[in-house]
Amino acid sequence: MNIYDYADKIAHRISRIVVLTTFLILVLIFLFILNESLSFLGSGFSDTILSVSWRPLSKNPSFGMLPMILGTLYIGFFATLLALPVSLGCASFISCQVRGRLKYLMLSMMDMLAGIPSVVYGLLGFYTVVKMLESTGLMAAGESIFAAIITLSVMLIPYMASSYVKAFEEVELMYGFQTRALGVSKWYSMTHLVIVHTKGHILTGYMLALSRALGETMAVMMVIGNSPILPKLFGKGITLSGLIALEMSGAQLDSLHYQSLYTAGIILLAFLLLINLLIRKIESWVKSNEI
Amino acid sequence: MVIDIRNLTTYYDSQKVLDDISFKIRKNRITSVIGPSGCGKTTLLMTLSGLVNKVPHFSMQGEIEYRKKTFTKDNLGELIGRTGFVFQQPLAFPLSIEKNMIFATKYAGIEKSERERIAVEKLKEVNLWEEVKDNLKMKASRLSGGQQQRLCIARALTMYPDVLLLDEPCSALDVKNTAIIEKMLVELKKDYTIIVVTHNLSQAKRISDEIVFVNEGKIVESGTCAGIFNDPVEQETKDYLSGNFG
Repeated sequence: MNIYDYADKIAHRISRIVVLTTFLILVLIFLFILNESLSFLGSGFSDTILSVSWRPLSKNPSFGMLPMILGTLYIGFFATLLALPVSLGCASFISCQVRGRLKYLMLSMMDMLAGIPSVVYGLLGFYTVVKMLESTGLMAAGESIFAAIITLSVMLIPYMASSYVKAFEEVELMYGFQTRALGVSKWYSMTHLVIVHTKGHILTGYMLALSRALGETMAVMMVIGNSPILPKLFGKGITLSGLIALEMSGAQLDSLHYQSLYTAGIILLAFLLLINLLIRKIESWVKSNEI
Repeated sequence: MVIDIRNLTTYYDSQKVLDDISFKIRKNRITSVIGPSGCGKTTLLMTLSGLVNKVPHFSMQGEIEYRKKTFTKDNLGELIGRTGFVFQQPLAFPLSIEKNMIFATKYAGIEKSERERIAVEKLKEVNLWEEVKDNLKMKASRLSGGQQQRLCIARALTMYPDVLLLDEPCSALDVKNTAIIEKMLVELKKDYTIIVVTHNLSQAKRISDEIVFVNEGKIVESGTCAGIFNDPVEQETKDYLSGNFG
């Protein structure tokens, strides 16, 4: 064995250790959260999780998380649904309609937008969407599920579009000249070939964005109103991650309140795990359909 | 005469690719453009299809007369879609066979029943109908390379072009599929004018009526297939045909 063979072996072992460490960290996080919430799940109050009343500090406490669960899903689904067509439009424009420096500039700007901290989006949402809703006079306060959906969807657009551009460009590069040779327009080629062929990637990108939307905390928290009530489009609400962020610092260590917040974390993790499993399913379906 | 190319000079940036080319393409003939790699064969074909107009930094001088209309650098883009173009790689669209065949006709707004009739007609023309008629909903990518190339040819014919341009159509195929495509091209020439770019001299000899030999962007010699292969005039042609370069 020469030095390069040894280097290969060492690199292989280091990679294995890194992968195992990552996996271990994930398992430990899950076990830690599960452990913290076990006492709550074993208590008589766990039955109240699916109720609508969140009164952790009351004399007769109840830990109804249905408003937070529904709020999280409501905002996640609608924000991603709203961001999807806009992202597809952005991605198709960047991948097929522009080239050269303008394309480079647009891609750089999109990456920059995707990297802006969510608190900045929260601020923007607060000073634009919330204030606009307040100025209509329809609502006493503009903080609402609607404002959260708009803010979150704006935040997700560059993230989703960025993932679609690459997939679209690959198809365009491979079949662009062939479709042009048939005399069809770029728009027709985009809708009848590129999007059809990349539907698996589009779905995967959507699911990834959804998992990001479900876990998003700061931007949503700044515009949603943070009230544990059942979500209505023009009413206040709260998400699971928002609940944890808001109440964890005030919860007494090892109290039922403290443990119930970890249970909220478990529920959120379960959603994300489910979405990840769905992504894997979609990816294997895409691979089997590409043959 | 279907196409008349007059004093065609093309550039990518400042690099000259074709240099003052003039020749005529005759109707219902197979014209093969031969020459060594990088001599400008594909650029010539792309120019005739108008597709080169989509390539960045392309410019041209001269004119192309096609269907009694003259195309110059200003309106070259209008040529796109008027001729059928088949690429080197047999790349069927990642859709079903049926959708590949109705891709262009659907865009053209042709009625569904008529689209289907055209699809069947063209698949028959390329001798693919019998092989795929029971699997029209199947993904075209599941066809063999030779079948995909015939599908690409059939797809290019769905808009009824009178000229079919093929860029090394058999270079990615085996001997058996090459023979099938060659036989099909000879059958197709009764309905279409065919221009084939190839560096396969044996293939050019087998299927061509006319030969255009291009080297370093210029036409060295052109004429009938028998004339070029049996009695070339230019020494450069003799050297190329005998394998001294290329």
